[in-house]
Amino acid sequence: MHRDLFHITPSGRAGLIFALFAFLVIPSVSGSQWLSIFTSTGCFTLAAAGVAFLYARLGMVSLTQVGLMGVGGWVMLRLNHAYNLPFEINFIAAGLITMVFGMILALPALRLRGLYLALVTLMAAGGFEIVFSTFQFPNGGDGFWGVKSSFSAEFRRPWLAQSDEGFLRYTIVIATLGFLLIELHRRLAPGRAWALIRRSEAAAMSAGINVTLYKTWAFAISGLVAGFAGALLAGSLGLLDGGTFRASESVMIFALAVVGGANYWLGAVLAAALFRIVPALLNNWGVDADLSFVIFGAGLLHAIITAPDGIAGQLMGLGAKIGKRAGSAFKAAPAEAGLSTSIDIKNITVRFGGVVALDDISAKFTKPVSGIIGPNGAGKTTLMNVISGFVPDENGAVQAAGQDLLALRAHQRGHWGLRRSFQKEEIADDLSVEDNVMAQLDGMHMPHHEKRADVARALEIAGMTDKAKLAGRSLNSFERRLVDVAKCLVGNPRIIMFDEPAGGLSSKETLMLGDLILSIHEHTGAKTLVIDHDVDLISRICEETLVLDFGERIAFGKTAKVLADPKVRAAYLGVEEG
Amino acid sequence: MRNFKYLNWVIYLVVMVGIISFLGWGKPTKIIGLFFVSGLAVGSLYALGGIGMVVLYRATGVLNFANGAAGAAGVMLAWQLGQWGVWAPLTWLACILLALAISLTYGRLVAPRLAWREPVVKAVATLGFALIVLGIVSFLWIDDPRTFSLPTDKVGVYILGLRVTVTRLITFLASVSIVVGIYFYLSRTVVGLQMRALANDRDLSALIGIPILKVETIAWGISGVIAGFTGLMFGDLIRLEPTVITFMVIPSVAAAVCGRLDNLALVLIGGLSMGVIESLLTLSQTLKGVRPIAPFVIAAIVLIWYQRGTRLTFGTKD
Repeated sequence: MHRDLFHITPSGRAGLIFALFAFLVIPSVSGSQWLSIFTSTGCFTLAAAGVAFLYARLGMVSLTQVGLMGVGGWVMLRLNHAYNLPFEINFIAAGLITMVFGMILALPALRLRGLYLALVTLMAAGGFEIVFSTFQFPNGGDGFWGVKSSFSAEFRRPWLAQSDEGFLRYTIVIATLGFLLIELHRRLAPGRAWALIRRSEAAAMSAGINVTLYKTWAFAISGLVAGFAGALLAGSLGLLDGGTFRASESVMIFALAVVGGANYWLGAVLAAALFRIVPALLNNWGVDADLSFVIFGAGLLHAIITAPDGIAGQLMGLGAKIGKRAGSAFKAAPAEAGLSTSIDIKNITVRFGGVVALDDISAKFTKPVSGIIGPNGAGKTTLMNVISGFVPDENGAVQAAGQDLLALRAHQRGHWGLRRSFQKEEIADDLSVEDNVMAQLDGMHMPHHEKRADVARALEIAGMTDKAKLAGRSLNSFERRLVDVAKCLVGNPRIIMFDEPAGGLSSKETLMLGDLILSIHEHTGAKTLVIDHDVDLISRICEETLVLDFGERIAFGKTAKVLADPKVRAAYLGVEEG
Repeated sequence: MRNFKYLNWVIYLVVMVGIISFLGWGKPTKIIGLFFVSGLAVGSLYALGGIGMVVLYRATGVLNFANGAAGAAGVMLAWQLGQWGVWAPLTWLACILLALAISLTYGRLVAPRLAWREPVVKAVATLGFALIVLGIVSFLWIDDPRTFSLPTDKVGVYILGLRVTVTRLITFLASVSIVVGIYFYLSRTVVGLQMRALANDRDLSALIGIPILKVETIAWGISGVIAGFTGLMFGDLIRLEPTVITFMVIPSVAAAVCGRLDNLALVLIGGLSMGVIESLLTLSQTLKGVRPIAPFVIAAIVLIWYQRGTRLTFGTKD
């Protein structure tokens, strides 16, 4: 069923071979100093994988990762010295508790993004640094903080890995599992949700994706791997020092993850190698370790300016010879009859400060395809945003199929059967056409094979079946529009809204798009609302049309009649009345 | 809307008075005054760092984490020249000129290549530059306890019965006058007008023919000079250690965040409040150890307060 889930990409195969090599060879050829360096490299690889994943998949910058490692390490040491539990239980507890910290960090991410989010996480890293340097790490003392000034108590290792060699192998296995966990998420519903959230949160919400849940989830995973990494580091060294977990180190590991290449497993390995192995080598060669800062800094600037995919991207680009898999054909499922419904908009009023964007708008759309037109700033998109749930209105209602849509949250409206497109098509570049449409269905409860069939059917209606496997970035603008329409067709839609679907299309493409929109009702039973400036398109496909001007309804009814209305002509074509 | 504004100020005053009286409860006024003054000096440094960043951020869209490193390089050079017996005012000038040169180097050579990237990427890139500068500075001046002092340290004035060193007074007055000066510069001069236009909308400003390169270079210059001055004062008042001065940008960012990376007066007030609260925390037995955390906690609360009720549905530029 999950044909793609266990597929091993060439890059993944290389990663597994590398892990196997690291597991079998490296521990047996390293001296004791290097065993410790490689173990900490393994820990930081895992931590780097966490930040790299947040950055590459959600476009969120977290500058707290090493601080979170400190949390994991602290919990690990605390549990080790307080209770007589085995390493494995402490290890899992450390991971889970750090995960909770990661989720707390997600709270600002719900309200902030971009630069501000990075700054908040930087503040958090600064906070952790101060707490760690003030209270130190438990070393077997009394009380909550567990610090004593003399030698530290002994630290228990996992029973599988008592020796340093064994512990390095243990670290490699855990790091590999961490990578697989992240990759597994990326290939399933969360991965599609994250790709859409990164592209546009509004698009994600109207696709029925619970943005809060998935953002928190991403931070939780990142926190979990940081906690594991910190716990492993504690296990390797037996005691930790506040100096390891400074804010500057968190910044550094993020920077190096970008240098290494946030999109690839190799990037995280390179980041950790640069972070741990390069300074050790410089030290062995008698070079001042401060110069590693210069190398890191130059590497970071180089990576940001010339190589968005980092060193790993350049290496992978060299070795990429990927044969294309033949796409298998799906049988189209018969169209399900949707509920016949009218869209009854009642008394919608929206104010932005003192500006009345919509003034008591009411209209009852009963035809399969209806239009909304009006000059720029008339309130068309605002009305659509009210229906989608992005803009709150004052005490109006939108009734359809016995449900007041305004009583539902944005993503719940998606589940109910509301679909929309935006003025700019919202296709995630790094997902395939198929997955872009599939993302729409991820929040819904239906068997997997039905989802696949539904996606295939939608792509067939939109005429995109033969491009189903292509990545979003390889489509032209008309194809992106068609996929946007296909996204609206899956999961039993009841109301579909298109915001300027023909914007930027040629007249031939507009004709084709118009035919596609006209066929929607027959295929899905959904009602369609279309906003466009193209009066030819509107008068060809829409039976009924609502005309807005400066937030007021100036006409509503049969399209031909409405377009002939002198008030509409005055507002729309700028002709003076009388 | 206006009522809201006043409400914010009232809340701010109540909170500040509350915190100060809570921390200072039962302590002699003289002690409180002492910590208050030293807090104002530290806060001025945070504010200065933040002001330098905000001026640059508004005009160029770059949040420059390398400001601290530039200041660190400057003050280390000043120290070195002082050791060689160079006349003191020349060493101060050298500090500011070096920071200016570092800032301009990045502004002219690297920043234009990233002009089309999103703000967070630009900010991360300056971290790379900060690391390069820090690496070179730490390589040239290996870890060693050093001190740097200005002649004004020994001169004190009495204000309300408290002795305040002139260095602290200068730092405080400089932060206030820089804010006032930049306010007038932005509102009265042509370049200031152009900077405000850039801050408002870069693409439109470019279209209407604002000389972006010139305006940006001036902004990099101003922020470089402020960074050099901040580094000099920091090396004197707090510690002369490149790493510490470089990462002073973190509390500076906290101050900048209080002004939403936009409003200089709020950056100043935010920075000063952070310094005062941090300093007064020394009076509390339990919180003494974690007092450097104050700027971060304050900035986090301020950010969340600003963002209350907003939703992230539609993308903004950052």
